[in-house]
Amino acid sequence: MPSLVYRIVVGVKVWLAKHWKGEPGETFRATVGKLSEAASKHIDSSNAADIAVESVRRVAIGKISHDHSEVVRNYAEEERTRIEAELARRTLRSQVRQSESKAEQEELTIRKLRDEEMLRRLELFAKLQEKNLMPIWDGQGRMTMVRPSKDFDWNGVLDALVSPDEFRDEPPKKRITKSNRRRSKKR
Amino acid sequence: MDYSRLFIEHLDLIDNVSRAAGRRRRLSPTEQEDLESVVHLRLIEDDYKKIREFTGRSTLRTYLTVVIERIALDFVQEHWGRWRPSRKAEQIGSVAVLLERLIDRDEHTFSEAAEIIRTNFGFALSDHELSRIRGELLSQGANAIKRPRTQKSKPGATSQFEIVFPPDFPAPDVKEVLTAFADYFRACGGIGLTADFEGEQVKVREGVNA
Repeated sequence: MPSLVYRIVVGVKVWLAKHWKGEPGETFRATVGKLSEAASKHIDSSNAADIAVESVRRVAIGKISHDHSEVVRNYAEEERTRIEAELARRTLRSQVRQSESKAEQEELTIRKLRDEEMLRRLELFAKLQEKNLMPIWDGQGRMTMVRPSKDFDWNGVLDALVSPDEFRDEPPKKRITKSNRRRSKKR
Repeated sequence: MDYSRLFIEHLDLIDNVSRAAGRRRRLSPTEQEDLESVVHLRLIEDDYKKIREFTGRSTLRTYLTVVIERIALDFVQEHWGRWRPSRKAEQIGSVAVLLERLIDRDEHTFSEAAEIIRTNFGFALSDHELSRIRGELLSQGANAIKRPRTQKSKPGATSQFEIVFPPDFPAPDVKEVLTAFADYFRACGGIGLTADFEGEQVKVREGVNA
């Protein structure tokens, strides 16, 4: 006998399609992809059932609870405020960049952005661990959140998520000169 | 006046007008998506300058239609380049220019273009007469516009997707997780990961979800 199971589905939209298709989206998808891969490896049968539900035909769409819709609406409004702030910040940043286009500052900005990405990646991981959730990215691009079992290897996921090389700064590029080439041949 | 609120409250209207503008220009789904993003950005930038300029002389819908049409025009020009009629079409006259624009730029079929010329522009010309003009244009190798219309969105690269949470997942936690994802997306260099709630019932075989 079929029974009705309620699920919480949140439709997510990225305002600027070019961000989603560009580098930000690629980085985001790569991280979620790593999480998803790790989750798929360690998932037990009860979690697998969660995903199986997704392949079952959807019967009806309606509101489950007032709380959830209210909370997501609040989230959306807050997010829009953050977008405005971010847009303003970026406009300012591009103005600054126009006036000070020194290569050194550019490099510093890139390094800062890389650090910020890493920090937020770890924060995302911490949040998922705190809520005991792991995303699984299905073939249709839907992200299903599953609850891992108690013995889930969170450290293993963290290892997959953060490569030790990322903490290293890139070595300065050596210029290939005749004397360098001669020296390396001698060795 | 809170312009951000005005923007948010009329987001559906803005999207509808953008979609209509894109449809009129026969944009592909990917281009349509890009246009909607550009419209959002243009309306937000400079502290909602475009919305602040609304003085109430017309309805907001009319005003937005004009603004969005202008944005769409810029968008299309930026994507496909500015279209100009061929010298031959200009020599033949305004009907030839129209015909060329409708077929070569807007990608209408000949019969659609003929209908538009008769209905919207009031030229009482038969299909035979129009096809003669078309023939003349083609014989001179007139303006065959080259534009990248065949681009298709990559699978999985759509900017809309769903996040499915377990059935008993508490509402405040949903918000926290969404915020963490949005913060991370922002740290990756992107902005604007927003969400809409859809409750959903799924029928499953007993035992599967036990």
